Amino acid sequence: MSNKYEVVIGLEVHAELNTKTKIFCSCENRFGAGVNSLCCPVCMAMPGTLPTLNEQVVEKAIKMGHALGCKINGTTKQDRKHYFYPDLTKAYQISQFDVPLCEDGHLDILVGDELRTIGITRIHIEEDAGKLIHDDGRDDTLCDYNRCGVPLIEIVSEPDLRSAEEAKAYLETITTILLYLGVSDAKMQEGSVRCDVNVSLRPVGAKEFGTRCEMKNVNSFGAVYRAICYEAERQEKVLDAGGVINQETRRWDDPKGESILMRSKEDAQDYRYFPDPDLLTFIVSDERIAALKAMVPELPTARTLRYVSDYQLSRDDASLLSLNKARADFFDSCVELGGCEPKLISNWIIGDIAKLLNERRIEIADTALTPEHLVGMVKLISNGTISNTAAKTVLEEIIEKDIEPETVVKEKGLAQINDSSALEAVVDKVLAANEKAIADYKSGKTNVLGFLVGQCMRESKGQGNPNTLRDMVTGAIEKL
Amino acid sequence: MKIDVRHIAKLAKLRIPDEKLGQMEKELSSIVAMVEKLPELTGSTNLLDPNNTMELRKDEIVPSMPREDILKNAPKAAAGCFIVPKTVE
Repeated sequence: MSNKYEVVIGLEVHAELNTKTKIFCSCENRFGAGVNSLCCPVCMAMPGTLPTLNEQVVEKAIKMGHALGCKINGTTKQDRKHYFYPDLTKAYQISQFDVPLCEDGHLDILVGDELRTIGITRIHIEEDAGKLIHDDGRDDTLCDYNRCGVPLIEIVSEPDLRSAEEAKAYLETITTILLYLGVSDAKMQEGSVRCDVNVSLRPVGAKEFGTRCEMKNVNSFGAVYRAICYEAERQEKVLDAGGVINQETRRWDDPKGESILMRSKEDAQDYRYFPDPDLLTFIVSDERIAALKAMVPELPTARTLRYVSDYQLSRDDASLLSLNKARADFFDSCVELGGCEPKLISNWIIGDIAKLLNERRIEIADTALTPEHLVGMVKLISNGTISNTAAKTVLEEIIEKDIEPETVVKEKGLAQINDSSALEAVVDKVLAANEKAIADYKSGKTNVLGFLVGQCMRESKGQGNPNTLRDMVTGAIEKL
Repeated sequence: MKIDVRHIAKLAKLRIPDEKLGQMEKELSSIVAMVEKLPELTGSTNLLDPNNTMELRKDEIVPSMPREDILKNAPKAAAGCFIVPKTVE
């Protein structure tokens, strides 16, 4: 994109809440069940049935409202939004129109080194629609209504985002907060978080917004980025050719990398909202609203900034650590114990520990690892008892079972050998086997030193102190 | 208030013959005129009614209806699903 235009972006994020039951009936709210196995007369819209609003939907939505600094409307109601499409059994969706549960909030996001505040217009509660299955081999459509009535919150941002990078960072922060609060599984790949993106362009310096296009079906962090880049370029070409942007809804096709016109403003839906007569006004008390606010933990952006300022972690490391609440909580517990550098603890958590957890597809709580044991292990490295290499073996043990790192060192004979007299045989053997490397070193290619020390580490089964070995190798070569 | 019967019929997926449009427009206009008075009568525009509120439901699972029962009313079903005419938005 050229520098002539500014991109203006607003996001509508739909997140499924992880309640036990659906929003208006007691059917289980679960992903991946057999088709139409989680349905009842209420979510199937049988005549004579009445919806009853799930208390947990309201509470989880209010928590998210607090996390995004919203004003909470404790007295509110629900409205019907009408459209004809077979994914809705009632031919309307129960949503909220003029009195959303939460409104007027803001979210701080980190984009590179910049802290940006994005306005949150509103968060309202509504029901999800069923799933339509279009099978190429059939000339009709199959409907699975398990998802019909699954609770959603829709989080609408102000048009405050100015680049694809910012939009991606915003969406990542929203999903991280959903996980922090424990209100949604926030799995984009399972469709529990979905995103509509509004994009418009305006000449740099202009006050008025340009005409916007809405893109639907943007369902991964990468897709948000790609869809915005594509749409901004498409609109720029139209404007540069002297054309005008039509307000329209487009479908993002991520595999093809293009957006396709769904409907223009003339065909836009007229949703004919009105208050749902099946549901009355509901009130959440000020005390309950305050109690829910007290449950909101420190949020990822604040945590990242704290790690940078208090522990001098790099911005990238701090962000990575804050991304996973359980791991960040673990880090905080380790630091509280004290006695070792927070930076070293962070390196282990976002490095080797994250790798082990990802390989096993488990979380830190599923392991035997305790903050005491990790701190104990890092202390053993710092005081020279074990090398970093040996520590990896210790880590594998203390993740598996509740055992002191010192015990692992003793049982496995992992203690580092710092005494040069005990390492002389190792150095002699390695030097004798690597005459060419020695010649290279003498001719000025000093980077072979790393190779020689590595050979010594291997020969000592990871027990030699690498610094001691380095000194011994250079000393020995010079004497040759 | 001018009523666009064609637009409303399109939203409601109704087919209305041209000769009926005039009559429909007249009837709908008088209905809308009546309904438009309602907000004045309740004294509120957002229709919240704090004196008549509902209790919320506890989040506890009740077994769903067996699939074969749910599908009993379906005019057409296959592979455990309701079948509708091909719809691709």
